[in-house]
Amino acid sequence: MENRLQEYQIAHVGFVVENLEKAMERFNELYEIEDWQMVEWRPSKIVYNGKIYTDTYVRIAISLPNEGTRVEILEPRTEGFHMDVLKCGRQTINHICHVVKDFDKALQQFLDAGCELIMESEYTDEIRGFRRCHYVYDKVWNSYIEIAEIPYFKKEGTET
Amino acid sequence: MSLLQKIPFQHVGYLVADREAACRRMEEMYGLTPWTMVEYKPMKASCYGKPFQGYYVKAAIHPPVGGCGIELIQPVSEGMHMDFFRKDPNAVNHVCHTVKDYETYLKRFLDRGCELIFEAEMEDEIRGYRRCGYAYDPVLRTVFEFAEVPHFRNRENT
Repeated sequence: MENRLQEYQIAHVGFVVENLEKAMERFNELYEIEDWQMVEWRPSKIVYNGKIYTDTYVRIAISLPNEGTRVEILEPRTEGFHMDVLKCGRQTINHICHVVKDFDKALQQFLDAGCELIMESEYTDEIRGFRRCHYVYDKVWNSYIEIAEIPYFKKEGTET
Repeated sequence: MSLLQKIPFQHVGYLVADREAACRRMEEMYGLTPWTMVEYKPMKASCYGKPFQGYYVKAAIHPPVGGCGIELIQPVSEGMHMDFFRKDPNAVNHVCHTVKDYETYLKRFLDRGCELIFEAEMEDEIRGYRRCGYAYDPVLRTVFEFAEVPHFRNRENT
């Protein structure tokens, strides 16, 4: 098997927090991170633990520039996976993320290896287009991995 | 340029119940092999500011991947790692920076309100001397590790 960590890399480390601005300020104090990519994440569809969510809202900030392993901060505003993580009340560090070109292949690799699909999401915006991002969980490792698709603009008439 | 650009994450650290099982799992999931096993028994250690005798964790490191990697740690003795392992619902524990100027970077975080929850010194003939410090940030509720680049100390100064 090829070295998938070398292929996929860790695009970001995700931190789930109560207050996005406070966390950004803290990362600025510690790391002098001043520039962030802000995302008002309202995915068109989320499936979490078998239930469909249509009104998910998570406020997200990702450190800039887009190079190396970045910091992602997530503030959940509605019920769902991220809110459940936050309610655990322990550390905010939560997951690593791989941003991949062939999303279906990458996701299947982890599922074939025995990881559990915890959350599926689809998201579209006018700036970056369509992408999926799913979270898998590995029971042996006791860890979450986010697999994120590189955004693209779908051709007209393509079903979502 | 942010600190994250100057000293990027060297690894994300995970606390596991069984190091060997976790390594096998990483091989299954990521094709990561071979792993270098480290029996981490520092010559000097402190937890939460107090000296700690007999500190022991089993660690595992994979081959370089050209970016941020994954470190697996199985706590053996009581202490900071074991405390977090028992309390945290998931294995992910810390992010680590490998640095030459260990004291400067660790002090930066401590001066900004982080708490030094673990510090250790190791020295051997193969890699030389190095320190590692774990700084816990109560605002972000996250552990940041600073690992010193190993070096051979001037014997006259030891």
